[in-house]
Amino acid sequence: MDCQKVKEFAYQYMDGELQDDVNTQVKAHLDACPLCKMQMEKEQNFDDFLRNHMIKEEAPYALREQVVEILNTPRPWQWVFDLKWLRPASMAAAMTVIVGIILFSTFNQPFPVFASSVETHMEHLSGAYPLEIITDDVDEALRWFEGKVKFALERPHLDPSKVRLLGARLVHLQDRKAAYFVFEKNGHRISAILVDVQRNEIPRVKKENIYEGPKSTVYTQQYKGYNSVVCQHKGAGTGCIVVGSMPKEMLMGLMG
Amino acid sequence: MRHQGTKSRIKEEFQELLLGNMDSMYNLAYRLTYNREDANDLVQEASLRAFRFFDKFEKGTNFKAWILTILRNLFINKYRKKVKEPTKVHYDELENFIGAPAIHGAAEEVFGENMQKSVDQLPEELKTAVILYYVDGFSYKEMAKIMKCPIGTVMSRLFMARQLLKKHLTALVNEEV
Repeated sequence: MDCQKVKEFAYQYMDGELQDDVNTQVKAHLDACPLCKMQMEKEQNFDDFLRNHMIKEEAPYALREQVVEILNTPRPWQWVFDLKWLRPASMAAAMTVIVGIILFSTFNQPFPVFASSVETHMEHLSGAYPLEIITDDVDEALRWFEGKVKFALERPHLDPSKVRLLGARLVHLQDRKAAYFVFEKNGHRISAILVDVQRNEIPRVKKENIYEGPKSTVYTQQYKGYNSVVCQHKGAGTGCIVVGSMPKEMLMGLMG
Repeated sequence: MRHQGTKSRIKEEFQELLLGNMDSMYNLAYRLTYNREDANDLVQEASLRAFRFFDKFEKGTNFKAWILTILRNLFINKYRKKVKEPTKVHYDELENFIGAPAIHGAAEEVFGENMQKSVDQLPEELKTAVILYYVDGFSYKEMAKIMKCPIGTVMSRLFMARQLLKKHLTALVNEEV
């Protein structure tokens, strides 16, 4: 083996990555060639120098505690967390988002839209309601629903740059057929349900949970530890329902 | 459904493996983000993701390599755009092999402190290669799996990193003279 070849193999030799036979050849050359040997030693010295001065950060104890706590959080359906969003709370929770479309209809009695959509999402998380169409294309999912539901379909009110669609299926909220979408955000499952519900069917909420915007009115409600946000579009007679266990401001931030 | 005892045994097993590698995770996370809060979040997210996919981990294989892969992928998907990249390196400058500067005695400590800074300034892929090799002691093969590239690329990244670091160190030494 000549000096040029040894130079090519130098780092692999130094890193202990050469196969035995080649390794032996390189070593033999180094024993016989003072120049190459000197070069190799210089490289080795620099290598050691670098290795000795690399700083290895240690994980803070608080981080270890947090991780252990999260792993041991008992809620069975919380298997993914978005900690970045929940950083102020330093607690993890599963997130549910349910989007419903509110259309004009003849019904007047309150419809338990928050409760039934939260129940549906919880059931999906524990294995019920497998997806009937798998796609990340919302339009394809909407086409799939055509003819299957009687109400006019609209895109779920979730910002597509923030969430990813996994698929969809038909479900029933109480006795009403609904279009059910499952989205994903950083490993979290998000449910979006389009259902035919009239504006005045929305159960009453406290005044402080109502937000007036230029194009829509937003109502928020809590059910079984989940926050739900109803976004009612003015004029168009349509709206959406967002439900989650994260703070309502974060839920609202997900909507387009 | 799994028996409750099995579930908790699996969790214990996972937790033990995880805590044993948390320093490596935090180190890489911090070196990539340079933000302690982001590093914390990244480690937590990676931990949970790994736990979620723990049934996919082959027992007996390298857990550290597996979880650092997860962490690095999360970094690339979520945090990479936040980090300001150091000035672009002109790789053609490095065609010629640079000799290692000789550092002796007291000079070692002085220049030694700069090594981490020099590494921090490397482009992300080269820096990752340096950390995985020098701090975590992975082989080329393991590094290739973690960085999802061919072994040849691992070798060339290490090569580039070493040339840049030697160049930087030489410049520092010459400044002092």
